[in-house]
Amino acid sequence: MSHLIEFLESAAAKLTGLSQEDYARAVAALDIPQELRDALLARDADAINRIVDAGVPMMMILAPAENHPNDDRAPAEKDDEDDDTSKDD
Amino acid sequence: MSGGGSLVCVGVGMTLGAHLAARARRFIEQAQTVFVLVSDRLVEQWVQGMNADVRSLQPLYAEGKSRHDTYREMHDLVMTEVRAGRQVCAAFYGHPGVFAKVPHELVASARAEGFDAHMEAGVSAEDCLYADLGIDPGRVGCQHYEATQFLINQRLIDPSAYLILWQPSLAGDRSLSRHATGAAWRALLVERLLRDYPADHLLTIYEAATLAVVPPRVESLRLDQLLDAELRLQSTLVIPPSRPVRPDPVMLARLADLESATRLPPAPSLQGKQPCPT
Repeated sequence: MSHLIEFLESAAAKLTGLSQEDYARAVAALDIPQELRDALLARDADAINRIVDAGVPMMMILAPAENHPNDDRAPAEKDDEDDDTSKDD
Repeated sequence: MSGGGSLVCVGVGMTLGAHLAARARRFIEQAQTVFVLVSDRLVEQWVQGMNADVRSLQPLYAEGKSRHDTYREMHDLVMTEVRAGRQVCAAFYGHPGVFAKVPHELVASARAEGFDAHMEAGVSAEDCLYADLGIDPGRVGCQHYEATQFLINQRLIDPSAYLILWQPSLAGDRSLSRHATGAAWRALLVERLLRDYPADHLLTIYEAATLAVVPPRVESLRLDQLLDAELRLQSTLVIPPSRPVRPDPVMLARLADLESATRLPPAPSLQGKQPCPT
């Protein structure tokens, strides 16, 4: 897999994309499973990730949809308490 | 980094190998412990190749588990290492401080406990969106909301500016434990948007490229087609203006009055005069 990562890092660093022929040659030279090679040639991000993730999809949620259920106080009220807490620290 | 525990939160950008700043990379390489939370396995493995001690935060997510618990566990894991006196780097996809609760809380907690802590800016999905879709947010303005926050609060939407909704695949998930919401939730999102936009208004589903060899997803559809559209965790909804900006005649008149009152006298004419020697 390290070959693939080096290839992707190198592809990202190039100022212009490879021609389709050069790209196909570069992918063919990678030491990776055939299905991953096919996904790369198809430029299919879903397939690439499916193969690499081995059936365990990555999560990428970091934004809370809302405040914590126990944290429904008005902002001013919360700020007051936060200030008190920071002083205690 | 020197002496005692410390923390830096960095962003690796959206596209593997394309966005990681030299400074952020050095923080990853030189940290004693690196925590990583990124968009896909290849990016995670890429970061793992930069330091001998890289620990993924991914296993803390689970379907049916409240993300509040996940965020708290992420926070506690990282802070445990900082408190142990280690120089810690936490690497997140995109920008660590954009639509990301944990990195902000980590920096605040570490500072409150007396540790050196800061955040390094990264290239966010928003940055990629502007480049890929050719949008300048300064031209007519741009509103950003997390989709559930947009749905559950009485937001005043200005349809003469862009509206960008993040995480629309989770719109309306108040449990914070689902990995996607269903058609009934999506119907409420469409209903809410129909208050401000016509049914045939064209929207864009956008997904930034995480690999340089794969193009970003840019898919146009009408608002009334959104119900059946494929939305994924990484999808963002871009809603362009539906009407022109409306000037405010009262404010324009007041500004004109100000201009008149403060106008500088005209510069003396140089016509017929010799230019000053230089």
